[in-house]
Amino acid sequence: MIHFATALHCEANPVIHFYGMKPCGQLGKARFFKGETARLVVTGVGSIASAIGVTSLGERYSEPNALWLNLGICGHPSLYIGDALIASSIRSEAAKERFFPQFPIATPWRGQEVRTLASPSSQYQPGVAFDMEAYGFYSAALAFTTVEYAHCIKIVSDNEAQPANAPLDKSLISDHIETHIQSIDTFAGQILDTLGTTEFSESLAALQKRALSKFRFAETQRHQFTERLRKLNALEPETEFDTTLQAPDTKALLNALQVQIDQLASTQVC
Amino acid sequence: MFDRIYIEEAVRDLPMTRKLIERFPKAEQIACERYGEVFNPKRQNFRAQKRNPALILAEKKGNRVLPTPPDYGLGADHHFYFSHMLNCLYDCRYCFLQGMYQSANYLLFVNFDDFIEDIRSEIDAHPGERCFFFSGYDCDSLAMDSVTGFVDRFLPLFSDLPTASLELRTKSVNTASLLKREPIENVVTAFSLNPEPVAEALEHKAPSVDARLAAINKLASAGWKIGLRFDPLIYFKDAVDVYQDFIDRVFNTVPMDAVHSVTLGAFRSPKTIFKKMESLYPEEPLFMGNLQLQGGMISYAGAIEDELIGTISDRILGFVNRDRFFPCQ
Ligand code: SF4
Repeated sequence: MIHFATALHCEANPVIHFYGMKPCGQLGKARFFKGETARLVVTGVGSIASAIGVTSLGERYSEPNALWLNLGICGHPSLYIGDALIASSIRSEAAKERFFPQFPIATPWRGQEVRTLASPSSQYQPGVAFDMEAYGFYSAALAFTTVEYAHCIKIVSDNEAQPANAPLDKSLISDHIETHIQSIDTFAGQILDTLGTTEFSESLAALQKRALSKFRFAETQRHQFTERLRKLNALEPETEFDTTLQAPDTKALLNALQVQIDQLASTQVC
Repeated sequence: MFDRIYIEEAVRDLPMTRKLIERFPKAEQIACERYGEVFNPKRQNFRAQKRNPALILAEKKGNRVLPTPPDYGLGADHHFYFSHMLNCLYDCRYCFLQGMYQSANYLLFVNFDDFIEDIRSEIDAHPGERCFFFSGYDCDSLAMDSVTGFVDRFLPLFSDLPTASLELRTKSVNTASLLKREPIENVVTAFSLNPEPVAEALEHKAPSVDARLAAINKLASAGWKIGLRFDPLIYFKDAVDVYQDFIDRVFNTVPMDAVHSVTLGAFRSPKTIFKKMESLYPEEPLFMGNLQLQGGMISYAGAIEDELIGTISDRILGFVNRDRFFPCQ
């Protein structure tokens, strides 16, 4: 699942269209959209609005294996308008801490420092992209994921040759985002592939259900029980463990599972 | 090899930093004030980073050369360890580094001169006593030698210091920088070895056992001292038989007069490090069974460990004298 955050509707529209998303609510300024493989929040402009929007999206949809992407426009002294870049460090004029996103795969875009400002600026600095959301996005996204799975992808909308001038050309911004959406999706797919997910096999899910209705587990035992099932799921997902349900009590049940794990592990370590 | 190099402000102008930047011209250079900004933050995923690690160039401040724990030694009067680099090219599933550090990026301390000065100070502080220095505690000593130039910088120091010894701990076959020079009596290249089934299942990206044995023989033929490190022993069905055959094979391959020392230890880990390794690789059978928690350490259940250590020690002692054998219990 990809969780997008954009500041503006014109940045969001190509993404909404690409992933076939539908509106699914709002909270304050934040507008939510969802599709089968991606969700999006339009946060409004600014670092704080971005942080609030990201937090709302993360709290609304608990998704431990999401990739978080901030997609939007930036100013850069020398890159061409329409070029894409990815933040390799993120700082804010308002905070001391800096973020260093990490990349489990090579990225198709050049990495650049992204500096989040409170207002647009044409005082460009060499090798630095200016935006207004990345820092807020990033600090909020890290409540839900790690630095490998939160990234800021920025499209250059102004540079020294063509400095920012209001009002924004919204349809041009949408066009720029649309140009890059396919490569963003490919990149996202490759990163998401690095996250493994496992669900319990049918037989273990059934065992879990029957055991939970048959035995009264203390909290720690319940945790141990789930952990042992998880291990069995990795070792021998399709094996029937029904005989373990004949155990007289939870302690005996947990021991019986551990014996199975010890045996299976010793044959599968190598 | 790297698509990003993080450069700490303090080392930006060191010759070694400049050389490395020139060596990897396509890598993006990212400035940081202190390496801890990149290496230490909590919200990092070691397993994900291991797929595409970056290089961090930094200065090691504070204690660079440390005494080893009292029961960790090879018979010298004093034993020390130092880490010029944190993290490793290889990806052994049992490696404690993955449980120890937040980041899998390679952190290279480029102030080699300071390390060398500290080693000299320890030797000067113990005149007439034998000091043994272990490198490769937080990395593999040789795996990245072509990048770090570690051997070329550190070995000349030991050729001038007969009371000091250096261990290069490795699984690498990257021995060119040793073979190009005359052997140094007090430098030991210590190879970690496990039988093929263990190496293939758990020592990801490391050279094959055959390649390691070939590298050992080349070094031995050139006159270098060899350490054999059967550590960590891994328990599995038929482990005892497989290890006994493996010990026979190693000692029938490696010339005995080149063997400086043999060490042995079963898989073990402090609980906190083990828990982190387990959470990174929840599907890994190594972390699942036949283990116990005792005194804050996770290790094999007593009977399993005793059998592994006992039978394999006996086998080793059929080939080497006790004075060269250092089992770790
Ligand atoms: S070779 Fe050593 S340092 Fe490297 S991953 Fe393996 S155990 Fe860890």
